[in-house]
Amino acid sequence: MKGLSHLQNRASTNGPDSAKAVDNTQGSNSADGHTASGESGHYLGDTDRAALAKSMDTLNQQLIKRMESGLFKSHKEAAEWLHDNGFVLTEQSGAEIYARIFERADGFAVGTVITSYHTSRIDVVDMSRSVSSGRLVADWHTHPAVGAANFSQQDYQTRLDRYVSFKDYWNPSSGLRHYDGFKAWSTLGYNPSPALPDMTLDHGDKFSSCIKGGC
Amino acid sequence: MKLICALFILALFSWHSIAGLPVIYPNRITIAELQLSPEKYNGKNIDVIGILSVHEDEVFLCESMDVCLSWSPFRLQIDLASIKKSTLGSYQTYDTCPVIIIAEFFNEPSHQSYAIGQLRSDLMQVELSISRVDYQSFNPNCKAWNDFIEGFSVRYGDKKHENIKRSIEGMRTRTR
Repeated sequence: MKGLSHLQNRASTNGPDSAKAVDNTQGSNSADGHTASGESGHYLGDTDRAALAKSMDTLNQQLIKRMESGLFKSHKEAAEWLHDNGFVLTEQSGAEIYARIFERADGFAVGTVITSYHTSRIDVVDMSRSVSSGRLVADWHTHPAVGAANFSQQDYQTRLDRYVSFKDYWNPSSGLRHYDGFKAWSTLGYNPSPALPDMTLDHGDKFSSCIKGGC
Repeated sequence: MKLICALFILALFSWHSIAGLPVIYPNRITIAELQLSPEKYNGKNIDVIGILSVHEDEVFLCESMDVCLSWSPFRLQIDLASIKKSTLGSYQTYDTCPVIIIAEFFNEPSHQSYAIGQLRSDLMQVELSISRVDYQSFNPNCKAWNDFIEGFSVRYGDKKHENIKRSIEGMRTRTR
């Protein structure tokens, strides 16, 4: 279902988000192909920022403890843990939160959970801080706005498994959705690329499904 | 009634989030490109693919296995502290493996007789970059890949082969 956000989300793929990015990738003139996101929303004030920083530290400590007892069995299990333990921080602070999931020989590890302290965006520089050893296979983020109950068009521009936690208007419990970016792009026959058209919402929606809670 | 209609329209347009994650594509730079114009990439965060050589306390990313085994300068020195941190100390398992490294490149002329420059970063990323399911038959010494295959046997059972293929496709299309 397309709304006005369809237009809002169609951002330029030539945004020089990363100051240290190198020009000329995949035959394009873009600087790393980043898109500027989150034209709406705002950065948190100092007090809210300090409170969230403290909560993020606690969450990351919980995550380390969880992984010390054994890695996750799947990226889905890792995303569910993040949903169960991390979405509450978005509900409390109103900020978007993000983490990457890596596959290792003995299971799935979650990189440091990060935030840009913004109510509708994660900055590229901050995304790169969510690292761990292993192969990047999935990521998870939150949608702070109530009613933002599905992936955005921009969220579909990845060939990873992607998860999003959100809260809908009419459902008291939060929800977790999954998007199989690998299958979605495979059916198109090419990869996300700044030189090619973005995936449409209609196509991406076919590969999006409810995993948990009020979807 | 008007209020209900307004709420319905609001909900309809909010079905998709206005928030979106930035789209990130790789800056894959070849070692040959770095050799040609190292100053162009100095201090920049880049993705480079090559063969990793771990020998005693020296780690290099080489253009090929032959380069690793000689003193050909078509190689990059890898900062030991960065790779130790990135791999949680397991960097030796990547010896002789094809890998992609994402880190900052530093053009350091003192190294240029045997290496083009150095890769280092607190946020260095090291991942396997393998293009064939039967890689093990060409190089049985890449422990990181061998461990991965073994882990897949336990985790996926009958679906092991399908998941290896998907992993390899993921390595080909890896974004940041």
